[in-house]
Amino acid sequence: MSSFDGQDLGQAVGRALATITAPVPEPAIVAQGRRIRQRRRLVRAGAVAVVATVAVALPGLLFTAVRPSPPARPLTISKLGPTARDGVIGAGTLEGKPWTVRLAGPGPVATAAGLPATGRLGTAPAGSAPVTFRVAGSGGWRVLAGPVSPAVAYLTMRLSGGTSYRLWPVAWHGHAYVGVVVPWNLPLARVTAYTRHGELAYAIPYPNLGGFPRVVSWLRPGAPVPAVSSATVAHGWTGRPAGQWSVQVQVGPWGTCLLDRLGYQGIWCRPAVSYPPNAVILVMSGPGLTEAAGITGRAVAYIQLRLRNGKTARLHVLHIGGQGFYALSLLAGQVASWTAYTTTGHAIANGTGTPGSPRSAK
Amino acid sequence: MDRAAESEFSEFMHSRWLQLLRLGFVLTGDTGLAEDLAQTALARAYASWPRIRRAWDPDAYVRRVMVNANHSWFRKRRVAEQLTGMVPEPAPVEPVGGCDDRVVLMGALMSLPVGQRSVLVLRFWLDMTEAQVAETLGCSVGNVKSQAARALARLRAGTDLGEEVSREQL
Repeated sequence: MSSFDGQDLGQAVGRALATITAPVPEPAIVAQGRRIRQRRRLVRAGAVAVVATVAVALPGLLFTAVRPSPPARPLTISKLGPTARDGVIGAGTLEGKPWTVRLAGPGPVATAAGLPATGRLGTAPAGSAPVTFRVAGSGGWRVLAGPVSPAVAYLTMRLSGGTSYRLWPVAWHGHAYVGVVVPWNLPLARVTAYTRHGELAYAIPYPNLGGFPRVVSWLRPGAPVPAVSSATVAHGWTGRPAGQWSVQVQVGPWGTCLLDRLGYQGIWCRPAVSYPPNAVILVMSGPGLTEAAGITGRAVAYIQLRLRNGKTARLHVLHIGGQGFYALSLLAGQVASWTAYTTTGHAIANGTGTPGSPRSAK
Repeated sequence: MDRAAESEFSEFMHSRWLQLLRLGFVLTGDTGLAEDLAQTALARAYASWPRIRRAWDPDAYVRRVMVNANHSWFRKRRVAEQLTGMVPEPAPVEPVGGCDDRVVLMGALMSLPVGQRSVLVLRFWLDMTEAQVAETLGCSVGNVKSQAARALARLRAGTDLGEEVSREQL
């Protein structure tokens, strides 16, 4: 009993709720939304009529009543010194309000006033990436911060409208970081890293609708830009009422992203890298999640599952651009073991539990 | 609303539906009411989509609509429902199994006052910070902390529940 805490509860609730599903009543939502909008328009029109009537009688009131609010001021980013003072790695203004991004603690985490801290940033970007961003926030603002490679002199963030911002790395405890506060819906079109001599790499973020764009994969200047392709990896019914599920993959210059189309957990992205031919890597997984999905190497044609109830099932692997993708519903039955096969029926990988989970592969 | 915004809303709706449905179930304890609640929240988001996609966090917006709508419905239901001093029929005691753990847990959650339940679900299931929970519920961070502490204490104190949830540790 003493070990019971909130985190356990969150996981247990997630598992308990995993069976509650229903199809999205899209037409009903849209129709109800349109009715609400129409009602608001009528109310607004009535209010305008009242204001106009009063304004005729009191001309001075018109100016006060209908004066448009001043346009929101854009994002500004200040250039700080090369070394952080009091942990401050970024400063500027957003919508006319000042912000600062500060590092604290081992790890470290980045904080900005009024916003939750990011996760631990680490001291170096992942792999050969020029920078690894972490995002945190609530309301309309987000903190974007991360460690930067020593080779990087500065970064630019270009928005879809053409506006560009420059970020200068700031040293903190011997490692370089950038940090910025941005609107949640920043239309980030491209992030470019420069050395002192020129462009090092650029990233085209995954346009995460309803969330912050994901900077995942970096491309070298002049390298061909991967084409965008999208497909449904797998879909089906769990046998329960309204138990429809579906997993999609979107491959493009941002890397590879798997989407739980009917779920809420969102999007799992991985950089575009070359996997070993027999690789089976679980990407989409988590507590409470009713689907699992992953990436395979080019040689994997299908995965044979043995379920705990003694039945077997075959997972089709979808191939796009040298990678394979698989997905399964975890509600259909618990997986005891799996084996990956080539098109000629040769077993090339196997394991226990959900295919590709880190502890499962042999 | 232009076609791009319609498409963006559609993506948002499909990606968040199950989360909202499940949040609705925890808030109301009824799948029908949960669907109504999630549908209401998304319909209001649709009506204001051009505004909230520009200046607001849509997730925070729909969660807040759900919590507020539930509070308002709850007040109406209290008047409509007939309260009695006796439980009509005791629930049969089932042996504990994988599925029963879920029933025990959900039953214990449902026994909490709606405010405490909302705090627990937002804080620990949706993994929101105390500040985010306070923003969603329209209360202070101190209130969130005290509600969460009280709710956890009640769950721990519940008969056998602490053990059930401990066994559920993943």
